[in-house]
Amino acid sequence: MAANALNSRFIACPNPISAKPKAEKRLPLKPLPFAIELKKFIVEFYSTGMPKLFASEIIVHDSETGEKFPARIEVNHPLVYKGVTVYQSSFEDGGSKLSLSGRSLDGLGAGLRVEGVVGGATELTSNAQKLSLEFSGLRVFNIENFSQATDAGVGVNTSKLTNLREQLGNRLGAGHKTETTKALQNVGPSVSYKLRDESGQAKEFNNYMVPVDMRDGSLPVFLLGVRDTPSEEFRYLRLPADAKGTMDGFFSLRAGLLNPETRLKAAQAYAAKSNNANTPELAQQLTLTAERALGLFAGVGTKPSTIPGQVTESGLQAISTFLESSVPADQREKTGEVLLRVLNGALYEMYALLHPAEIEALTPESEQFLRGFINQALLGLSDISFYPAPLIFNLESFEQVQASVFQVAKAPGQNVVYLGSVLLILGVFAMLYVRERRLWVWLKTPSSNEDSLEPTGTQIQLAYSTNRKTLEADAEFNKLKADLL
Amino acid sequence: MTDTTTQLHSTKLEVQELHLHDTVKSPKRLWAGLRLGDILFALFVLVGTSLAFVYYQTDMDGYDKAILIGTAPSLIALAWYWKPLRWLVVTVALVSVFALWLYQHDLARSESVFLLKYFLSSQTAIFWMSVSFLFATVFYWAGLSIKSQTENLQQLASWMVWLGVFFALVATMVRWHESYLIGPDIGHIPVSNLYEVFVLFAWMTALFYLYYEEHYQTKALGAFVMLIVMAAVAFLIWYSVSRGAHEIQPLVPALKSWWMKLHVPANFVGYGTFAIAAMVGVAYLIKERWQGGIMQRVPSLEVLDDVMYKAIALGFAFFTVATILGAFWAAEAWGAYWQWDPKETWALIVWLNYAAWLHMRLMKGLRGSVAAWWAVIGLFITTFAFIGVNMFLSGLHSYGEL
Repeated sequence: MAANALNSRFIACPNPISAKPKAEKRLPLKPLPFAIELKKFIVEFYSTGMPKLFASEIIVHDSETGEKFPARIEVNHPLVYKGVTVYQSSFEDGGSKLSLSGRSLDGLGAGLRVEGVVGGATELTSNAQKLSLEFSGLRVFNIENFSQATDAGVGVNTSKLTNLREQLGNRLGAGHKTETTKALQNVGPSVSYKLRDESGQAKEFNNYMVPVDMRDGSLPVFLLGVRDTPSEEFRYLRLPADAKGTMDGFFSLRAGLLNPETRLKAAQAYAAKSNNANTPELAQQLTLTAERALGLFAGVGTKPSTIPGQVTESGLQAISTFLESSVPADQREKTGEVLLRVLNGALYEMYALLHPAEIEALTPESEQFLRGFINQALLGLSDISFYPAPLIFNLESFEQVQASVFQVAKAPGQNVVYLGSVLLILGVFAMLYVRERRLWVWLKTPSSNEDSLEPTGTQIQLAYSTNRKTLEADAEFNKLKADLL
Repeated sequence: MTDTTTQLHSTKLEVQELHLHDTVKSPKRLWAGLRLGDILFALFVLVGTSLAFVYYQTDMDGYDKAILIGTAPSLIALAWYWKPLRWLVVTVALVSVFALWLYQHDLARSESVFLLKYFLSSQTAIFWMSVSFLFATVFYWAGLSIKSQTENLQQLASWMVWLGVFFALVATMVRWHESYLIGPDIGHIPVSNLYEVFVLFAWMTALFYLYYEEHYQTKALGAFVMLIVMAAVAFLIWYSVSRGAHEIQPLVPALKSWWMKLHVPANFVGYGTFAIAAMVGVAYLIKERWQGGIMQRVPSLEVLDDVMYKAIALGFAFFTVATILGAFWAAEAWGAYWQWDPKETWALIVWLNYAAWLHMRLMKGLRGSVAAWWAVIGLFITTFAFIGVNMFLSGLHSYGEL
């Protein structure tokens, strides 16, 4: 765990700075004869998550006549007015207002409120470092496919023959069938932002606003994505939501784990509960084991980490290092299981110590939930030490502002283009299918021999030419020849 | 056309009039020699399109309606020009309407109604199309190989091609209907992705081949042409099995336009005839080197050369139309006629390639093995424009990715 980040408290700069100072190019611009006012941008999706419609409802203000009228522009349905065509080109965020709450990874300290707009940025300062928080995007819908989670374990015991029949059956019939079961679900809004340090290095984050049920049998989790470069996929840290659907439960455990006193108390409570024989020696030993497990897990007294940003090894990795160094190989698996059970139990007790009211009101259902929560939290606590930022920002609320991007074109020569195209097509067809044919007939009386009294007849010579030498032309000539002679 | 009157008084020969257009195989006037069957067919098409117009007019905009109205005279003219089309059009129309009626607006009936489940639902019909084309290919090759049975086998093969085309067209009509049954907002003509256009390619190539088969009175070329159709069928099966591509997908906003109904089929007239030309080119190159054996039954080099020219000429004309239509559509959807998108660039390369081929033939009289090799290479260029661009290059036309 990065120690310097632990002790630092960040504050947000009250005046947001602009993140994108756009270089303005001076181009010779011709003013349009009208202005466009955007009333509403509409984007619709199919149930598969594919985009279905991009449309803008606009009001056109004619700057010459002062007239105004409503119109609608869609992809494939541009607006044509006064010889100018307006196309729906794309859309982007027009500066949605975001309200984020930041919390430091150590779980201590009150939530930090940050307000901003997409495309803007704000400065975060602590006594140790200065970070720039850039709000890069807001997605109101995220439609995800959870089919892999639900597919697991289905269709294992089918023989080859039934499989083939099934395969065939899946592909015949109407064209709506699919062999990949799709489990599409809208998992709600997400926010993306960048954290840039003083040296200009930035990491990109993508956090979902509400906990997501991953459909893998575990509890809903907060998904906190991070990547170093835009070409990478986001890697997600999964933190379980507590009974109230917040991260508070998880971070109370996180803070408790980092506190030696709480660790000791939790270890003692665990020992007291597990010591059925009520012997002080056993209690002593259990306390020691539990405290040691929690300590290792928190990264106390472990060897230096090889992961950048992490000072000492912690989490499950620290436990595995411990097992490798101090336990004989043949006992590792068993000892590992015991240690994990101890750790799980101790974390449960720690949660009970920190939330006594909740434990008192425990029902069988909520206890089962809590057990699941602790299981998930254990993984989250192990992974969180890899999180490459001192702060996590969660989207609290937002006000979406959309911007529609239009492309404007003036094509006075459009009719000429149409005419030219028609001529091109006519030309091609004429070239290939209009045949010019010529027939020559040459009649010749042979040099009349005065001596001979018999008529010698007339010589006939035929010639035929065409600009397409095809089989038809040959056939035609032969027919002509036959007809003539 | 000029009427040549020749008076030859010094011989017994008397030739009064020569009508050039009455000679063998020269183009006839469309309305010359119309029979009752042709008139009835025209009435059938007119009634059919009128009913379709009335029944589906709420789903169409003005341009769609214009296309539907334009379909009627085009079909009538085509079928008057080439009579066997009459039967194809009538049976496809009747069987498709019957299949639509069987559906009763309920997609689930594709599983419960016997005729739908085993014959007429779109995927099953495509399956029967594949089977028909496979048998056709086998019979054509058997016909070439078995001397004593050549005629019978080739006739059988020819019928199998007709059957395949019939099933492909029924599948297309039914799939069109099925897409509307999935959801009114999902419905669209099935020429929108790689799977659907491969079906289009298969039947169009087969149908053009059937035309040439009758026109040149030879069934020997089927063995070669059906190989490329089978390649398309094999791709369809692989695409469906490994990628699940047969599933009807909704349209992205850019494709939702009446232009698609013209642009895509026009392109596939080009692709189909270029494919025929290339396969005939293969036959030419083989026959040039080896006259014996089965190649004895392949028509002469002159005929092969002529088929190649006819196919490329027709394909080139339609490819020109398709590219121009595409540019107009691009202007409407993306705001520019031409953006040097990979598909556009490769379409230009294909166009220039065949333009050069035609130019060399018409102006310089290019014939023989060079023309044949060129036609074969042309198919590789066309294939890259058709599939390769989708596989290796991304761009505005990324609708059918592999």
